[in-house]
Amino acid sequence: MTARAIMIQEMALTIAVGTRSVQAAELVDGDAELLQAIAGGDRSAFDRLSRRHLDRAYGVALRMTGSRADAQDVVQDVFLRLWQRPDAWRPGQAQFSTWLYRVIVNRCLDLKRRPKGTDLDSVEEPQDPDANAEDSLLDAERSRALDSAVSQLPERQREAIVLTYTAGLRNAEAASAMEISVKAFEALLVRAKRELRDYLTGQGWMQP
Amino acid sequence: MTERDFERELERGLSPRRAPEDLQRRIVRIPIDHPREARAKRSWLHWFSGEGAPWAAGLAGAFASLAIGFWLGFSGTVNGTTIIDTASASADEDAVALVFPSVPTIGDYQ
Repeated sequence: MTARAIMIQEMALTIAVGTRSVQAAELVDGDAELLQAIAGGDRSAFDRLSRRHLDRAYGVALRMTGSRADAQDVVQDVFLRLWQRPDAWRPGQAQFSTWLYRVIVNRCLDLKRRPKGTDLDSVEEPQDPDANAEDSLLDAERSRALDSAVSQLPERQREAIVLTYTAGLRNAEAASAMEISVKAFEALLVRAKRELRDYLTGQGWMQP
Repeated sequence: MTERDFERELERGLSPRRAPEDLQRRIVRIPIDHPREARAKRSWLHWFSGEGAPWAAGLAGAFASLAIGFWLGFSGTVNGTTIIDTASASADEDAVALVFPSVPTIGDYQ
């Protein structure tokens, strides 16, 4: 598939889904071709690949680190390495998106394990400008409650939730990213959801 | 709240938002700030500079002497003048003559 064909496919995808976030699985086509072009030094291919994955990559890093600054640093570092070493991902192994989120999650975990002098800054999502003020405020509060609930989860459960709902990976892909069996992943996800539900119920955001 | 509603809540609440513009700018600048030419310049000659020089030079020397050996052997430059001295190992002379029938030994000149 040529770079032009990939661009047309992306445009069609954007038109088809509008503002709805695109599932990661839909983005798989063309990643390998773009990486091949990047290996040849094609800057526009790098732009397209980063535009495809940036929002999800940042979302994953943000929820894993709990810090906007750290999340930005992790994502920038991963994309820099991707530009410098596009051959780090090899076709035929995991899908590119699965590999990318695994790298991001691992770097976030490394960062969190490193001793820090300052506390993590709070996660604050930008408000939706289209919603009216009251709904927006309620949404922001709900979003904060959910962020807080996710940040309370044990590391592996948080990984499972973030890879599923933020990265948009299927169970098999997320299990591969976490290097565990699908069965183990599903058990982890069930436990994580139960914990989230209990936390949100305890905080009054959900009915028991 | 049903399980389905909770699932929808998670999908909505945890879906990725737009990455900050500052990050988008930083990512766009990566190929500009880190041009690939720097990597492309690393030709095979870089092995002969810095820390790689001693062993690279040794390896190149070994290959060169091997190549010269092959060249001498196959061109026949040394073939006609080669004499195998089996005087000190006379017990093996028959074996040498069997393996290398065309090579003259000390015995042929005596």
